Amino acid sequence: MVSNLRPKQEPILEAQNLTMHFHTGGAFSRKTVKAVQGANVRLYPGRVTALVGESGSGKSTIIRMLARLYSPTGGKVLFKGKDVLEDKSRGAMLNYRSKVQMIFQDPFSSLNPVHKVRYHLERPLRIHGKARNRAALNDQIDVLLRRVSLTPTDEFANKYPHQLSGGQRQRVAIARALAVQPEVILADEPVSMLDVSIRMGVLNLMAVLRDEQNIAFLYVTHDIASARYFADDTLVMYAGYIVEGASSEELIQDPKHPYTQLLLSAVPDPARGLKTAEMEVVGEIPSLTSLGAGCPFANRCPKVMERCKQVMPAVTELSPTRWVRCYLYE
Amino acid sequence: MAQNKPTTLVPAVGRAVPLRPAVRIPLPGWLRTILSNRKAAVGMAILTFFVLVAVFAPVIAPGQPNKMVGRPHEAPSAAHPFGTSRQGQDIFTQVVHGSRSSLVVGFGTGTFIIMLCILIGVTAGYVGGLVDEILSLFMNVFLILPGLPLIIVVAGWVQQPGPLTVMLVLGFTSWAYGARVLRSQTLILRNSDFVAAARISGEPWWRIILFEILPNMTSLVASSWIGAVIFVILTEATLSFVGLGNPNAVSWGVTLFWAQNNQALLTGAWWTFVPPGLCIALVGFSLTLINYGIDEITNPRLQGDK
Amino acid sequence: MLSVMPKPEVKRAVNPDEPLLSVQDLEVEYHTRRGKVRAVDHVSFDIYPNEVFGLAGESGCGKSTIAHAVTRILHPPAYIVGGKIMMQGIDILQMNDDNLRGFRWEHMSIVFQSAMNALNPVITVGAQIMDAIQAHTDMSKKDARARAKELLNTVGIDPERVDSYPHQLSGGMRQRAVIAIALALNPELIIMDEPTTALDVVVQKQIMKEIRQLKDQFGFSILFITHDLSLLVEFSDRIGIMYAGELVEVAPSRQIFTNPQHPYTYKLMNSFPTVSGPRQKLVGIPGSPPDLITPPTGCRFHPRCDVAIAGRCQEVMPRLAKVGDRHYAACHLVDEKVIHG
Repeated sequence: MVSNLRPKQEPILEAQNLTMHFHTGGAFSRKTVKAVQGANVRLYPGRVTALVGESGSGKSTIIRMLARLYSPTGGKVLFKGKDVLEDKSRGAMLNYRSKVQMIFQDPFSSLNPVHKVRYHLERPLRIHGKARNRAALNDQIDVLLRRVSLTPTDEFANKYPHQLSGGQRQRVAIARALAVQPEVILADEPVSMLDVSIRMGVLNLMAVLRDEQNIAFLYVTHDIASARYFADDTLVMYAGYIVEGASSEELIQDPKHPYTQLLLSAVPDPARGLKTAEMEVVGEIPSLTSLGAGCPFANRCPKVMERCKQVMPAVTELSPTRWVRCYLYE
Repeated sequence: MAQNKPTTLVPAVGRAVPLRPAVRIPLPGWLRTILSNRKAAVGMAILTFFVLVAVFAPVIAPGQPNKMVGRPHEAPSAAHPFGTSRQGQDIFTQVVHGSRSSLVVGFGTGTFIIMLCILIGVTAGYVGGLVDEILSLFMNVFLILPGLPLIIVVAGWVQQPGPLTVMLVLGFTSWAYGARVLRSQTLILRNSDFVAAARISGEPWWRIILFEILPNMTSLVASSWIGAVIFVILTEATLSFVGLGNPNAVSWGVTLFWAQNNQALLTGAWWTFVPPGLCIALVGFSLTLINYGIDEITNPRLQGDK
Repeated sequence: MLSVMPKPEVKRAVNPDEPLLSVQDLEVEYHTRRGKVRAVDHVSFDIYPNEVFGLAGESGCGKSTIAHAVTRILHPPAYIVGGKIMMQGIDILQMNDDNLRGFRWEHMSIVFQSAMNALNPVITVGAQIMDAIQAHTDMSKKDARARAKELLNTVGIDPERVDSYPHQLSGGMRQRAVIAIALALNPELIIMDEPTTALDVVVQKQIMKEIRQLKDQFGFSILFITHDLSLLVEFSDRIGIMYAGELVEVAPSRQIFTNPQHPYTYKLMNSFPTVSGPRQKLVGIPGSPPDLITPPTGCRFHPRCDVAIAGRCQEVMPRLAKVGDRHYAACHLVDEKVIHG
């Protein structure tokens, strides 16, 4: 099974058949939340891949597995073709962290309130040996803060997180991720907590990093319009499954999976005028504890067929750049 | 402050510059914060007084506290400001010297308890899983044990316990509540994004606990610590008072024990129990005030609307 | 269908040209340790019968404070220090607690973001709707229950779920139940502050569609507040744009989106991507809103404005002026005709 195909290029980070089942309800419960099921994600240098889904669809779980904050129940994570989950030693973990970094959704909680900006940038530089002495450290911090447009850098380095606005904090978080000179940045809804007026500034900054430093981005979001703006490719996730992948513009212009179609018809869009495509839909997202073997969208899908309820469809490649998991396209 | 300067010729005005009051005495930041709260400042003043008394006890009241220096049950006078006991000991000397053991046992055991709380609570909260389940089971067992009766039983069983025994018994029977509080706070902080971010940066676990989690619990640790000190001072006095301490030791509780033993209330020798009782109450009061102060400082909702 | 409850003492505002709610020169201050913050500064706007009026702006611009002032649920350290909020000839700000109790729910109700979590977890949804009804009318228990079922049906919940507890309903259904409670006494105005923010977009779309249908059916008006500008523009009839406590532009939502007059509105409308139309570079609005303890002189937006007139904008505060049909903006660059104050 493949996800977003880029035949000319090798993926730098790849998730193969990644699965995460959480056990809930304490030691004596057998309840399982099937958060992510067989997810395939490929990230390419200098490209942004968006992972779009509603809250609870499993997109944050995927990003946390790729960041190695969670250990997946099944599947592989390949970095430059090498399986990284096998070696759990601290050395291997550090090596991975020096290549793959993450930005969190809430800049108000991702910076430790008791530490200054300087500390947040200093730690990764020290841990990964990027600066050997005080002078080099100060130079690096200066460069990092300049990179994310927090000038005068001396002033910002000595501030506490609570003295910064949300946008400024998120820039600090980006600078921290950049400190190790990563090749991949996993961004978990990096702008959703920010005021609309400063979101584009943060997204544009990340776009510059992609273009100038050839960083591969995974952009997790619930906002498909921002995925269209920022991401080269988009994956759509629903109730634990990635159901469709395509280049962002293709996906927006011509969604294939009925869920993607529904999502796009539901997104408020003043540019489209008030005559939005109406799509009647019933029901709500199924509970992740009671998912059957069929397609999770079957209970809401207007084009549902009998076999949709039996087995989840496999990936159908529609073109070298797009695929879908739906029986309609087999 | 604006991350991108607006492209206008108009100068940006109206940026607020936070004004800080001029600092005259160089004090550590945390102490200045505590003293800025009126309740905490009063508490600190009372506590400082008792600490000074304890430190300078031999200067303030020279002489042996258990030595017979006068007639039995002498009323307060110039020679004996707090009168004498049935044994003719000077109560003032006893109270002044007693502050030493009360404070040392109080703060020593309080610190011991809070160390146990941090060790057990933070470990359970941070490590999670089976370790948490086991430690939580212990916490719950110790929580439902009736504290004081258990202490009385253990203290009685050890017979003539010295201060160290009292400290250990108190420590091992009263860590559970604080550990539970710290465990739940650790659990919250462990799942916070800044801890995840620290892991992503490659921080080792011990640095995460010491430099990321613990600094965010300072106020909780401080107030648990003070709570433990209050508890120990009161319990130590109680134990001595009911005769489970060393009756030959010098502490406020022991002075009270002898007052009770000699039926001071019936004989009207109020000076034998009022001064030590008042001292216990005042130290407890001062610590409680400090605790309130910490609460108010760390929880802005409790601050008065000014 | 819903039977309109008899309300002898108040007439429905029948004249569509007469405002249902009129906010006049509203001023709200927050008293903080650092000083007084004027969160809402001389804000005036009208809401007409059967209209959706949206308020937009960055966080801290005062839009939620206005919603709280209109519903009289502001509490210290926030104080209303000036202005009037007129509804059907009565100043809401002058009402005493007794008047307010009758006024809320019967004439004005509230749907907040946290509302779906504000349902009492140990009382069935039906009982909560019945409580709202019986607190304000002398309807019998049986009738109130029938009405609760009717209301649930109206908002798209199976009436048989009347005896369900909140936790048995999904987030979308809980939010619908809250809307049912808001509709229970058929009020003329519903304040909706982020009513669908916690929900996924598909459910949001359904609920907003239903709210619109209910609005047309029952003729109430909505004061609508959300940070989601796409949703706001799509759902509102008219929109007021707030900046740093001031109302800087008011216009029909199409006008706000396609023909904004205030530079702030223009930048705001060009700071979010859309799923249709051309894909273009967006820049947002560099800088941050001012500290309201020491707001900039003149136009509060001038430090972030790239078309500010030197010597004018930082000195003279622009007033809301008519720039088109039902379109007002407070900017020195637009029409000089002062219509306000």
